[in-house]
Amino acid sequence: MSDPHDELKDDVLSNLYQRTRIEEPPMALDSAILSQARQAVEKPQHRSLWSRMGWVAPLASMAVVMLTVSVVIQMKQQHPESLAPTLMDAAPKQKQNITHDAESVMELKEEGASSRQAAEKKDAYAPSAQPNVAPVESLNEMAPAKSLVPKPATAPSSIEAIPQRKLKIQTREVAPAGVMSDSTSDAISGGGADDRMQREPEALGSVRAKTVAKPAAERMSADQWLTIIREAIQAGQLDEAAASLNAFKQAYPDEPVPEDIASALAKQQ
Amino acid sequence: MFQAGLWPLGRRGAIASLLLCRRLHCPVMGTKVSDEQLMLRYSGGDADAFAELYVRHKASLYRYMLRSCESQAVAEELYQEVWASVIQSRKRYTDSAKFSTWLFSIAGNRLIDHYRKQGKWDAYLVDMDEGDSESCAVAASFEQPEAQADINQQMRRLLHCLEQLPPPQRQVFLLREEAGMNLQTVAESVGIGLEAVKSRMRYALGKLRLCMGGEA
Repeated sequence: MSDPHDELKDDVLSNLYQRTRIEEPPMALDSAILSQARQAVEKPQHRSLWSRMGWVAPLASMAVVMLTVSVVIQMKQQHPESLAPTLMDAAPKQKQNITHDAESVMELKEEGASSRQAAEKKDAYAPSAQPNVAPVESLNEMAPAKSLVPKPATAPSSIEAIPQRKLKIQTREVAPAGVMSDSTSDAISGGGADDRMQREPEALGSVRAKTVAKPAAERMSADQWLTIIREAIQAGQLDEAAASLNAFKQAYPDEPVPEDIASALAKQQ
Repeated sequence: MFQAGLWPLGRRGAIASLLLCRRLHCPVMGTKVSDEQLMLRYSGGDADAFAELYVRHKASLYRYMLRSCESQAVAEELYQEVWASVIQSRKRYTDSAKFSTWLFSIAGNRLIDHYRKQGKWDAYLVDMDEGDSESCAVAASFEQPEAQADINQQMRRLLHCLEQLPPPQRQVFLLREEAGMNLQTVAESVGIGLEAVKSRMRYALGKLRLCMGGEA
């Protein structure tokens, strides 16, 4: 179509310019524009959320599983008892309490033996030439102790009872036969002092152990108390056993006295 | 011409080629799908129609942007933005106007926005209003060189002189030379009156002749 305004057209310039028309857009630019145009008209495909997420969803799921497993393992390592039923712990705890009491009795016996040894050493260094005198004096001063009578009441100090018991025994050694000091224990009754004196050195440990065991005996059950009485009978400490039995009857009036204990003490009487 | 080229393929080959060309909107049997039809097809969802349309106009539009911008990077960026606008506006396109006019009007508006950001466009308009009649009078014409070496040198000189033109004058010159528009179409594309287009073109030609060393 001819331009009605040809006077404004310069053919020389126009022809020269047409020779310069060699530039074209780069292929990368073409690809970008064509892809953009294609994406604009493509219909969006209905894909599930899982498929649209691609590799992200499986990786996220695996990470969650690993995290959960690690947390559970860590909790088991830190608190293994949290998974154990509480009822199962009740029975062992009761057994532990009983064994604990028995262990405490044994500990007190041992302490009694060690304190007896310490007291003997102390007496060895006493200023008085007659070591037995001092104990007598101190014994008079001291209140009578009922060491062989385990009481169900509050437990006195076992250490305090040990020197008292020791002093009483030594008093019996010095005193002539038949002469009994008022300060002696109420549990010591009846005759046989000579026999007692002969057996005492050997049974000192066990008696004192029983004495030491008073505080523990006060916490002991009837069976344990009877066991101690049997041991005393077997050790030949019949008087002590009888006193202990009397105390047992007072403490546990409803508990029956075993026949072996009753017969042994009946023979003794 | 196309039909004449199909006979070596045989009958089946010719039919397959015709079907393929119809799919690709090739010019078959003397018919050519117009730019407007291609654009309408693309607005309907035919991506291949856009591809054909792009092939037809990519070079001219690219050079138009390249000659109008200060750097190749800026030209490519604005070039891509123009096609993005075409893609986004596909559903609003109607065949009431020629596609090339519509395409270069989008490009011209994008360039004007670019110049205005730089604060140059309004200043150029003021300068043109003051008149460059002297340059038009002095450089009435210049002779085209005949030697190829001289032609290459003149081509480079012309491009250099084109860069020196104010953007409004350069715009009308390029729209006529690159897009093949007449002054009326240029006026419609730029959105100014015909007389304004003539004025700008007159100034543009005068300055180019003067720059090229034309003699009065």
